Amino acid sequence: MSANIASIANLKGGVGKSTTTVMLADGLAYFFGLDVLVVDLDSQANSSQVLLTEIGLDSAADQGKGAHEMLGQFVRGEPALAGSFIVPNAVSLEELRWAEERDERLGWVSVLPSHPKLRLAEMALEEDWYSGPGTPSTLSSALTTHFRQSIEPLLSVYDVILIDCPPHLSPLSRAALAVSDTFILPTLADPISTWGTKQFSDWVGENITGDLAAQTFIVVTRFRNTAMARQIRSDIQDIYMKDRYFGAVIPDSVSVLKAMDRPSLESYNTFRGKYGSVTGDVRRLAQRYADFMIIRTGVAWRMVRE
Amino acid sequence: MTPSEFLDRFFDVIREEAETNPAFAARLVKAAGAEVSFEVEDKAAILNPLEVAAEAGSDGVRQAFDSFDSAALKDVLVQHNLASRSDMRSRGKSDLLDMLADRATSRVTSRSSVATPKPKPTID
Repeated sequence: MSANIASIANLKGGVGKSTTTVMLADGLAYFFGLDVLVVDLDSQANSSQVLLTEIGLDSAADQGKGAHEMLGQFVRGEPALAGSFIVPNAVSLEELRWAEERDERLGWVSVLPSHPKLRLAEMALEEDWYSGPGTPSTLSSALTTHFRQSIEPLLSVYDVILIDCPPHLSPLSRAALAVSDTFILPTLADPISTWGTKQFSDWVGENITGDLAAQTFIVVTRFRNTAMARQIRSDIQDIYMKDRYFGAVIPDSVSVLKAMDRPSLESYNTFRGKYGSVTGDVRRLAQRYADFMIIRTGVAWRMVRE
Repeated sequence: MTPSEFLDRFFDVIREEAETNPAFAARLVKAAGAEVSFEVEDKAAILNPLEVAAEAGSDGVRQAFDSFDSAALKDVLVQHNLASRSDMRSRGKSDLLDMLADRATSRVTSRSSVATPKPKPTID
């Protein structure tokens, strides 16, 4: 069975891409026992920070791990091998760790982390490429080929590959979108984000895939249960994007903020301890994505924990 | 109501709240820039390990929280999101104090932005 490749993307910043990525990774690993790889292509490195902490992130970079190293292979014309840049243990949930220690792995999270160095590496690549005969299109095409070759060996190792994309069309993010099977679009329930999500969604439909409706999974994030937010959410679901699949709603909650702040790389928490009052929301997010995958691919993931 | 009566009532409310809410009292004192001593039993509510770590490092944290018992140390660790309940399971006071000092110092180090002074450009 080949891994599902999903890009979590939206050009609108601050809509909860990294939060959605980490929640979905935890939810799929915990409830469905899946092996999940998070690929962080955002140089802000938020999902990497949440999974590894800032110290863990810097340590990974010192050990030669990270998306910037993968880009370095492309720049140097070396074979595409992403596996060596992955941090295999990005688990923060006690239940997953206990199962692993008993040699009964039931869900896992690994990460190909990002680092602020990635943006500098991308800028240097673009400057070099465009100073010659290269164009944005040829760079995008070449990187897509390299990225596809990089992750090819990983498709039989992981069940799901979640790609956290930056809030702009970087060369790497365009490559990630091009190789993705599904597009997870976080959005806020407000007019500005609604328009921004439409712009991005239209671009993906025109440039990446002709099957946008069937491949898109929308998540409304940072949701405040006001009358206006409920109306906008309803308008998005029933009018503006009525042909897309709607996932769970993630509330604007202190529990989300706490869950995204791992105390230490040596810190573990139970699933309910970590997510507190949004435990049910993370479960619904994972369940809805699993339902979407049944419709999309016919593949049914079995729930292994309640 | 005269101005004097208004001020009396206004400050009565503030004083009453400060007497029962040491965290509120600490914020008031800090805003006013005053030096005030708090009772030992109130310190648990107002001492910020990150602030102590930033000013006095790991040793400062150990010194400042040495009088806290295990339960109080656990409260501080959870309040500042420096440990999960799982992390603290079966840990004695010494281990908890080490955890507080190490993690508070690490967090301050990793999240503090330091502006490196640069020499002013000279005009030729």
